[in-house]
Amino acid sequence: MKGGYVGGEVSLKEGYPYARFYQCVIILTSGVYLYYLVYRLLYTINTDALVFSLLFYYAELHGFVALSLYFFQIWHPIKRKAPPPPDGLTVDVFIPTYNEDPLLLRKTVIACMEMNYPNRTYILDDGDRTEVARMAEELGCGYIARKERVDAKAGNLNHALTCTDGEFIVVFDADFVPEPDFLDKLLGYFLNEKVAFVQTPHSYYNVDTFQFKLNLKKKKSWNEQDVFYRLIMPGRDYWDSVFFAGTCAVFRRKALEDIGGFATGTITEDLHTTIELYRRGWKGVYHNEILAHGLGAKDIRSYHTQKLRWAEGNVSLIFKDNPLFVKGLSPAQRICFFATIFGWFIGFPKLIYFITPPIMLLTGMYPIVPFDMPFIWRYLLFLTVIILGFKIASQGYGRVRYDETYNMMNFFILMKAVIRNIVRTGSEFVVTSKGLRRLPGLQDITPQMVVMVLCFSGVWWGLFKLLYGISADIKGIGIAGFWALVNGILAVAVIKDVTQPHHKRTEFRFIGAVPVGYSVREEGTRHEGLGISRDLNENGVSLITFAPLPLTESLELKLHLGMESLSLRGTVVYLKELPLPSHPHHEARMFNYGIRFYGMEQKHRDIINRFCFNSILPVFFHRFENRQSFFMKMAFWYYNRKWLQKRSVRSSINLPVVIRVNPVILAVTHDISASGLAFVSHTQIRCGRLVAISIITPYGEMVLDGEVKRTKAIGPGGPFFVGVRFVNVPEGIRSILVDMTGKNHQGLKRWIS
Amino acid sequence: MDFIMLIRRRWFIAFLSISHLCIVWIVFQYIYEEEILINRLAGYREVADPSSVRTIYTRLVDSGGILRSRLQVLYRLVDVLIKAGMYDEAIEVMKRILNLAPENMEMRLRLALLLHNQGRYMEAEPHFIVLLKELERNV
Repeated sequence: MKGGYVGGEVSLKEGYPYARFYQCVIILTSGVYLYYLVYRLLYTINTDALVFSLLFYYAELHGFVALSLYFFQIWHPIKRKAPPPPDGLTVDVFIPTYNEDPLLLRKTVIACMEMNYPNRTYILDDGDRTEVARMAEELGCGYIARKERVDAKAGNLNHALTCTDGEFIVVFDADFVPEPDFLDKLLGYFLNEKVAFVQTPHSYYNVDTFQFKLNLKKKKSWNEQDVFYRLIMPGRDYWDSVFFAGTCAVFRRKALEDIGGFATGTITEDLHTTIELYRRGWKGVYHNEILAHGLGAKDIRSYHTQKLRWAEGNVSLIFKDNPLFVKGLSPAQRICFFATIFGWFIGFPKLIYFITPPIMLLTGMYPIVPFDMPFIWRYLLFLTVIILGFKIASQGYGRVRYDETYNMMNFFILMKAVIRNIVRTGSEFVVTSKGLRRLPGLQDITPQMVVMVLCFSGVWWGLFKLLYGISADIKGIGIAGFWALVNGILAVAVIKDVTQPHHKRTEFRFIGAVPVGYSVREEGTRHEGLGISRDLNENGVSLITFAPLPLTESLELKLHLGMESLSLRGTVVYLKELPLPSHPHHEARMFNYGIRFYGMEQKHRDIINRFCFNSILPVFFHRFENRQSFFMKMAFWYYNRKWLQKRSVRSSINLPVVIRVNPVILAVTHDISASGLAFVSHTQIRCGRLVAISIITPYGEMVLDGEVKRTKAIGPGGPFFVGVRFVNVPEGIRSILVDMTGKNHQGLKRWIS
Repeated sequence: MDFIMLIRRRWFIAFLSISHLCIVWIVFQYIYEEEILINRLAGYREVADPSSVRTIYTRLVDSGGILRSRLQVLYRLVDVLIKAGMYDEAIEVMKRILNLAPENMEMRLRLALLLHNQGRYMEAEPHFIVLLKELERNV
């Protein structure tokens, strides 16, 4: 679809590329699934085990409905861009909190107050804590407290609505830190008088939890919520069914007043509020760009608490404000909101899928009869088409393996939520814990352990049956055994993920390289040098150096944080020499020091936090932005393979570099090859400029000349991604660069990429 | 030590896996005791102790419902009963097999021949008729 201002919109609306192709895939996949279901019903129901067979059929049918609803939602995802906001709008930023750590809250408050567009930031403290009131006074933001926690978060927000008068309301949870241009990019949407709210994606910055699958080498990341926030929500925007997701959204006060404020009497006020707004004819808009970063649940217990609350709240819509029956919604909105509810019912069919293979192996009962070749080829066709269709239609966001692992992780909690709704157990709003990570208890992983034991018992049982000649059904036992093995491995993967050992830091360390100058005095001699950070936060840094440091009580550090340099003191709490292969003529050494800062002032902590959120985090996530669908990956692979063979290999290695311009720039390489390098600079350098570069490597310092070939802003007004091509590289340096960036040199890539 | 910490230890995982395998094997031996014995007897040239065969026969056949999944065992039982000279019991088992799997023509032929050899012509006749019809259909 060609972009443009559609249907009286003020925002630019543009379809995703290749929409027609994806729609064809969706139709084909749905058709094959439907054919399979009809065939199964007509020819393969086992009347000898009717209940078992019908239950299994229900699971497959549920899968079809869920997939169809998913496909409906992603039928035509759209991208939007708002016009610049007019000056003079009054914006109130609400940060509801109850028991979150004030230090966590502080980061959010500072970032909100430092947003480019003028706003008034309020802490809405349901905990009525004096330390939070003091912090609000110190930072100069508003503080609104309640003595009684009536209606939890929704009540807190509604109370603040009565105490403030801004035309627009921004809602941030206590842990969500916005980027400076958050309001600049969203307020323009409100030029359309019907727009009640604008929602943006949720993004978590603590990427070291089990919720993230990161592959830094392949530049791939996966988070359970990506598919929802990056694909489903833009798809729902096409159907005018975006919903408020609890945080990172801007509201029009007039719209909220029209529906009597945020919906109360529910634990998911967001969804109920959205439905109320749509019923009254208001519009919601989705801006598909990450503009704020929050903390994801750190451990399985917090994660399940959060999931249970969401699931219970969403399922409760069936009994209250059922989208299929409430007045005022369009058919597409009814389908989309029903899809939201239906998604939470997946626990039961998943349980059936997980325990069917062990039941087949242990009892000899099959849900499908006859299990013959005509069925098997149809099944294989169905499975192949469904997996490929899902992957292609999901445009790089659907990963079957990870999705199934998460189904294994959540099936029990989702079942619990549905049962609680059916028996109408009262639920209360439980705040997700953002504190120290806790190890799971046995009760947290019992369902997965039961599935694991059942599946592996089934596998052994099937093998024994064949071994002792109890059964000659190699085909049936083979397929059921393989399936049980897959389910068992999924259960093991979940248990492994959630029990993995973890550092005991309360604060997440931001993964990113910044130049760090160090200086140590030992017996009258001063050792100085330039290293880089592997990760950093307000409490400490993981420092990489290419020379050993004398171990003393105190270390002087200079963090080069963009345009600012911060002098700090730190203590070494950890030391490791990182193994590196040596060059034939040069000795190479590299060291990793864990350093804890001490004697810091609060303003220094704030500077580090600001830099981490505004610079390190966008650069970190920038690595994973180039997300290609399965189809596009194949196409690029085919066309690029020859082109790639001609170029020298670029290695994503981080090394400190000194760019000798006026003023001198200290930076870290983003990637480097024998012919050039790229780095992130906070100062813009014009293309074509000749520069002298010093690269600090484990093999010593290299001084080279280069020409700036590319400058691209990563964020608004910087930082900039700068590409430099070397000019006249001496042969000695060239051989080291070739060796260092070559495919066989894994040492540097392993530690500093 | 905390169980959660324990389950990440390799030695503990190995210990649990071996224990699990042993438990499954023991339960398997207990549940399929008769079948395992029948399979063993089916491998012998002749049955030395027909009383054990009778005991298994009684347990398997008289215990009521037999599932399709256990047909394999019944086939072997037929072989063992014939080896032990217990033709009436073998006929009974064959009839049960055919109730569960009427499409098994090989078993029907064996039953028809056994009934004929035992002089039970009237009982053998319907089976021969079915076999002839099947033969005609295939030709």
